[in-house]
Amino acid sequence: MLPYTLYGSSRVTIKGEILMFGSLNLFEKFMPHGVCYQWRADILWLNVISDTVIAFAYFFIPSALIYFLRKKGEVPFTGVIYMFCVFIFACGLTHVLSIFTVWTGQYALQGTVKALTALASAATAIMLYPVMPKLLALRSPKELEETNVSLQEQIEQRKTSEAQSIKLQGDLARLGRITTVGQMATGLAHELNQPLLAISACADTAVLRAKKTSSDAVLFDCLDDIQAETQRAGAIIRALRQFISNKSSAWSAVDLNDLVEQAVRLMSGEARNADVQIVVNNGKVQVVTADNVQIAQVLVNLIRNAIEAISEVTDGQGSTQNVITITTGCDGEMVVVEVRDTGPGIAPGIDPFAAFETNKVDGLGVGLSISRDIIEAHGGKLAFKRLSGEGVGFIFSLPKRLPENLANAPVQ
Amino acid sequence: MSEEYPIVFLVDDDPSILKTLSRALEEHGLQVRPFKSAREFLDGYDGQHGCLILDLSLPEMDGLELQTELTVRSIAIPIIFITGHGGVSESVQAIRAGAIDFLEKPFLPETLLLRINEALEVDRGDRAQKRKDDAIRDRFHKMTDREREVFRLLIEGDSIPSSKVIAKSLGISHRTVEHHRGRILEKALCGSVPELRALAKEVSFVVG
Repeated sequence: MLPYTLYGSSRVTIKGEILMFGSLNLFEKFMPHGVCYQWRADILWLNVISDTVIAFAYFFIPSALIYFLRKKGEVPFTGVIYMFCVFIFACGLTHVLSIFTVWTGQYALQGTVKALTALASAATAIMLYPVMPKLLALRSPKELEETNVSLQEQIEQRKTSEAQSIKLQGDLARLGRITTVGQMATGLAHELNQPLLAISACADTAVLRAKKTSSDAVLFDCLDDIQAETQRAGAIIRALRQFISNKSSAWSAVDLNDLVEQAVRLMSGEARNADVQIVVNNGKVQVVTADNVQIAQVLVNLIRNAIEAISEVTDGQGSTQNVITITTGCDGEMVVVEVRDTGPGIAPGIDPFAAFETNKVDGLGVGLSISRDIIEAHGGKLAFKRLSGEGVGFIFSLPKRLPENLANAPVQ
Repeated sequence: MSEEYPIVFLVDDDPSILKTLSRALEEHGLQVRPFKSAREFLDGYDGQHGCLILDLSLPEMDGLELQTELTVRSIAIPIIFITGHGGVSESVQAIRAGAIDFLEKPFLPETLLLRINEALEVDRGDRAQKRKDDAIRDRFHKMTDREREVFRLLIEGDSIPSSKVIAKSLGISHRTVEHHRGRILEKALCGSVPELRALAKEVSFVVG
């Protein structure tokens, strides 16, 4: 190998008619490149090893890219990436050829490989040009992550508002029922007030007449009761109508123990007829601001429900189990009243508050639904619990201090 | 007519209310005349004294409309409204227009009786006043045309005009005015001009 000289090599090159491309012999051998390194081991291996590493890297990169493309499936700009692979692979080949020519001077072969690489790289560059704006438009992983987070938030919001809208639909349906009941009640109020006035007038006349002929105390007591009950019916209708027209009626300081006592007195007749005993456990309660007629209505409602529930089991047969227990007390910021019965309880799956939904044979479930509306209008809650033994406890609470929005409501 | 027994007029379209309430009020010694519509009342009412118990909601002409109609016709019978609806705005309107009260059915009969007594008291007062007014008016009506002219000038204005001022504005002599003034005070049964002015004010004499 040593006999080749630099001069000789150029001569040989000219002799090899390098400019005559047509007759180019790819495998024509020239002076190996090692000669240029003067076969100095350090320079030679520095180049050879570097080229080797570069070549391996250049072969590995496209393989990795292709592996990535295959695995990932949908990746944008696949064409460009494949082109890039070809270009890098070709670059790797040129480095292989650089190693090869250190010992074997087949420069035509090397040049050809370089020419192919040039084509591939030029093509890649050209392809890259129109793709660039699109590449720039691609979101960075960080941006994508942010988008993801905000999408998650939106989904959460959607879910929340969906839940709200479902609740609202429920409220609306309930409101619809209330409106219907309200219209009925308004109509009924007028229709009932007429006969009530007539009854009241009759009772009055009867008292005057009876005074002329009788001194029967019970008779007068009866007539007085007729008058008082007629007026009470009128008061209930008035309160109901005011409640339905959403106006507060007479809000005043109310002692719930007093109201319970009144309600129990009102219901004592019904309770006696059904052979039900009413037990009252008066706890310490604070005076609350409320419409006493409305709260009395709720109490009467709950007691009546309890009596009806109990008579459903016993069917008039007296037993020691026929007890309604009314307990008053405080729970934090609320005054609480519980009405427990020893009835059959509420069948699972039945919502006792759903208007007109009732499991009682002859009941009309409006009472409970209106009761709850009354309590809620006072800023309180009406709930029920199925007792471990038999029966149900209905519990309502009223705030000791009237909430701002209610306190500020125009009271007339 | 003024010594007639007062009549409680009851207007309600519900026959059972008419029947039972009339009976109850009669039992309390009142004379009651029931009507089932505003129109029937207008046709049947003939200036008798008493009071009117008026249902708010009536077919055709309702209670408030009847109240207006009575005002238009200068019928000053005291009204107690009764209603099964309990409209706040209506009650305000009715009271503003001079109603005695606005009762929501079913009210206690004794509450109604109290209001009726109140209304009859008002009516009696109104009528006594009217009688008094009429008597005063009668006195004024006895005046001659010239006297009436002088009288008008005497009661007009913030201060009593002198005879000279009146004489000048009527183009008559000062002495004639003084003569007329004497006759006017005589006919009106008044001792002085200030008394005459007070009397005229009391009956809100419309100077025609």
